[in-house]
Amino acid sequence: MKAVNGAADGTIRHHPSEETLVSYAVGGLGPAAGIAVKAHLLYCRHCRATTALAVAAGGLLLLDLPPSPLAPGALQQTLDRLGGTKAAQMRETPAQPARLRPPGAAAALSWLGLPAPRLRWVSPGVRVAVLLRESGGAQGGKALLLLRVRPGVALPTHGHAGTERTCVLEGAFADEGGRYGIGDLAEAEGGYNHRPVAEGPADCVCLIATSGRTHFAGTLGKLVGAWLKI
Amino acid sequence: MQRHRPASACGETTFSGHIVAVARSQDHGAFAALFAHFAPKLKTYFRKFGMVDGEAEELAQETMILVWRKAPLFDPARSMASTWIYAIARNLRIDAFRRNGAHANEVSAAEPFQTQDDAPDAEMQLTTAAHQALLHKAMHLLPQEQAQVLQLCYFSDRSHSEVARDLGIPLGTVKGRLRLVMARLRRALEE
Ligand SMILES: [Zn+2]
Repeated sequence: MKAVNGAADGTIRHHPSEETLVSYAVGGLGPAAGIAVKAHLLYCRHCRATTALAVAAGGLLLLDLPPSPLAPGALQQTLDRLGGTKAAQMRETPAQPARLRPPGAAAALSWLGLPAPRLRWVSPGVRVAVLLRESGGAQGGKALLLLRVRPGVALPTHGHAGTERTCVLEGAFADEGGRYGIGDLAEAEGGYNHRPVAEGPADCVCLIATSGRTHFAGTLGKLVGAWLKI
Repeated sequence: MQRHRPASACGETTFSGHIVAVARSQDHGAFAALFAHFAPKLKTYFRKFGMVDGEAEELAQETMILVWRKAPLFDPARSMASTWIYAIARNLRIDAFRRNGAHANEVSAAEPFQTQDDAPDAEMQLTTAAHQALLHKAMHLLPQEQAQVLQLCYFSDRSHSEVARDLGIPLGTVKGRLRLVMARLRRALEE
């Protein structure tokens, strides 16, 4: 993965746990959390290296797997299925630009393959878009949200059953765990109650991957939760 | 650049060369060699996720078809062959999982979710046969309990909590073992 190198690197203070990166590398995170982690990887060379190592481990484990007998003629079948496809004609999506400053939310979202979101007002100073919703799973639904929060505005205090992962794309926010700037990923374990506040001077835009039911406190929070259906 | 191949390098240089040959000249011989080595292992990989024989066979073949088609995108200076093929298989598995009943309608938002393209970074320098040999050796020397957690995390749908439950150990222990593994792999590369 190409990345938003340079300025952003070295200023990242909050990283996903190593176990989260292993889950990401094996494809076990699911789309919502996977995208939040991938957003962090755009900014963080350190975690890209860890992820690369975890994927390499997967390749080596694959090499060590015992072979399963294939159907007779499997190779010929596969060759037939190649048809006239010339390998060299295959072209994929263009590579991401190596650098873009400032790496705004719009650019990050487009690199992540996400459509431009339509943000909706949910409470004073808070606008939200639900980018995707996963249903099922042992711990209840998962969702990926995009939030734009005005400086100084606090999000409703909330707790959640599963892990919540937040990656900042613009601006910054702070909660009991510290201050989170562009590229930082906040990983909050289940049961953790927190009250993030956007810090100035500009709006804070962040991706939030929720898993498990999120519980908001207070009337305002309940309204937000009801609207988001998370 | 990768001419000198240590005996213990698992043929990494050869595999990379085969993928490059497929890209350059649609070399069927090189493809057949890759197929012979990887397709049976890929089938095992898919079976480990609970797929029946026919489905695993189908996905193993699909993986090899993608190896053929994506070969021009393979950069031996950036990626090991085994890493690259593993990532293709993993993405196919994720897609198949979404298509299947288990998680139908999993993604309800109308958005083109892309599977991961986390090709290793050039800066990681994991690409030479020597690096691969070091990593591979370190993995073979893992304590049994770390290797076991690794197998379950890489070759099953289980979450870390489910791995902990199945092994009858705390979740923190599963996470701790994964971190120990990663630390060992990192150390192996520093040697
Ligand atoms: Zn990081």
